[in-house]
Amino acid sequence: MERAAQDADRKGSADTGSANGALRLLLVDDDPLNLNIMELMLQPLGYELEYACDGAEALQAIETKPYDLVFMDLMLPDMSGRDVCRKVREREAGKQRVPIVALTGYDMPGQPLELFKAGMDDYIFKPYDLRALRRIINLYAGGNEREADRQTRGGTGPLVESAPVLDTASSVADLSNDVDGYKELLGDFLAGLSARLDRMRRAYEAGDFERLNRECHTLKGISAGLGAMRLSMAATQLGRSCADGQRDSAGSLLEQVERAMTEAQAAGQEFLQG
Amino acid sequence: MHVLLVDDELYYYKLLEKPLKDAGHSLEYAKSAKEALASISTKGAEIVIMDLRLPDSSGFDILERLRRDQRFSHVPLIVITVDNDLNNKLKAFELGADDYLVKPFQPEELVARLRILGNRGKALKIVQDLEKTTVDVNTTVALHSLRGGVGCSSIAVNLAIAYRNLWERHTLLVDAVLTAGQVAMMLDSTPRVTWEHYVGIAHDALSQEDLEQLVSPHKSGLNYVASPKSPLASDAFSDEFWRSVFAEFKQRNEFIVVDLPHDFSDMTIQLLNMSNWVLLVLAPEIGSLRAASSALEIYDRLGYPADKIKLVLNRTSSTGIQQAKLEKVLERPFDFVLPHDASEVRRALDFGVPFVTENPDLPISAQIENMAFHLSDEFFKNLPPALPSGTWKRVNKRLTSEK
Repeated sequence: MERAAQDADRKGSADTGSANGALRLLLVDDDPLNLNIMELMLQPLGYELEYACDGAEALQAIETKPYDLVFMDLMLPDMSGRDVCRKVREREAGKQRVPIVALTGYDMPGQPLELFKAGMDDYIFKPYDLRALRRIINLYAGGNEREADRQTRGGTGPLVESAPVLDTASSVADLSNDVDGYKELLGDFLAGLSARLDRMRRAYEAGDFERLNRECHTLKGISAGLGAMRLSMAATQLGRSCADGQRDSAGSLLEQVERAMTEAQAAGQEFLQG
Repeated sequence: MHVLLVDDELYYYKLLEKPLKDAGHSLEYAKSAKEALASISTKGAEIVIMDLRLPDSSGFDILERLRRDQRFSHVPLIVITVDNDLNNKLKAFELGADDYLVKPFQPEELVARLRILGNRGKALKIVQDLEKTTVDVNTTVALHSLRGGVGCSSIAVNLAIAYRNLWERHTLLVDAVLTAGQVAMMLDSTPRVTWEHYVGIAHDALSQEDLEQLVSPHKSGLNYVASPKSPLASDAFSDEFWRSVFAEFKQRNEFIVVDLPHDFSDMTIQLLNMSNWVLLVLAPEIGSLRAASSALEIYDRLGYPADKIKLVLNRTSSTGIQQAKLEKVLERPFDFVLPHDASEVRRALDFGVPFVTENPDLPISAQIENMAFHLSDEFFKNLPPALPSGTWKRVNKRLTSEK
């Protein structure tokens, strides 16, 4: 199978992104079953999926066109996934870096370190499910991060508004469907929101952008964990403006955080009482 | 496992408490660097989960402190953080983190990663505990024969490599044939320093650095001391010299294999005295039989207990005197019989690649590996290695199937 290479030929090597703006993912795996499973899970979500069946194909594909993310099996017929990754990193030589995430089994002790040393960005265990894949895609191929990035550079915009206020379903799923557990965490979080906002305001007024950035970091992680994606994104943006020293925009971004908090609070209370 | 979570947000404790307990772990919680260090010092931890941003110090600082502290250097540590920055990751790994998980994550993902790291932590702990005990455990084996050409050096080289591959411990091969030793050649190595550089140095003037220089590393992981480039007389060194050199070698190595000259010089007797086992090697021919018979007589006069001597028949040719006849003359059975495999032995000699490395599946390699196991301290034999080597697995399989 040389689908990746054929795709590359068809589109031309000067191709710099997928036509419709969808994220382009490369899956490197020699097992057709894994390819099919991945396709079943990801294609409905609008990702553009391409395949390579061995190391040589993967190297050729990555060289030919840009991918937003590469999923790499570790045991390929011609070389190990780690060696493929090392080669990719050598070729990139510090230039733009394609995120590579390993697909690995449970039974390999001492592996994380080896994977990172080889230049992998992360790894997930097989068998993986859609949630694990989406988490990785969001983390490395844009998703939330990319949107937040885009908006920080271009000021606030409707994209934060397009993120869900509170995606309870996927967060409950992340907690192995422990609804009570989720409700408890959410209740704690909502109860502490106004205190968080106070701390952020005080940091802002004192001009302590380091502390404000810390608060944003924490808020970003927890709110995303609970499904408050809009709030998480708003916190990400505010945090970036602090880190980048764009203090002028911090005021309006803090207001955006505040709005997202109010929305999350309302949606959360409704869920808790419902 | 006993897990220590270090994160200033109580949220993560609440998030992880149930999934970790369901997976059979107990969870300790610290919300600052200070609390973390206090907790691990008093209650210990089998695994640490830690955020990189803590109120009182950076997680990097704690990571460094834990890795420097002998008590905790083996404890697996997984970083959880919102930072997905490559440099942060690299720094964390450089300082000794074992894994790095970006927030937010699914608790089950963390549980899966803990399982793997926990196993590794246990293995590392056992290895570290072992390393602390090494000084007391030493096995020194001498290869001896009053007649040359029976394969002493070849057995010494392969046995030493087998020890090294079997236990992956400090192993030293000493070429004590001061006239024309072959060990370096068989290892295809050219040492910088050999015995000749120590002639005339008083034994009490020997420094640790001197002895370190004398020992050369081999690519197999084995260390060795080569024979001099030009022949030395057997009385080139004093008894005290050999005693202090070997005392030092024994301190630093769990296994030592010595290739002895074909004589009973004072030096040879010194080294025989210092060995736990003497492998008396003979080939199935009359000259070798005579030599072995005399050697056994002298060992007896030297007062060596019978089980210090191991009789090795090296079938250097496909013909020769029958094993039973040899045993009758010597009045004792052979402890080890090495099958004839001249071509492989010859080839390995020519290429400087020991056959246990080159071809571990040969019957002769299997015998040497088994021999290394039998001639190991009970300490090692009774304790299955935490991360068994390929050699250990092979030996274990063979010995189990023999039973």
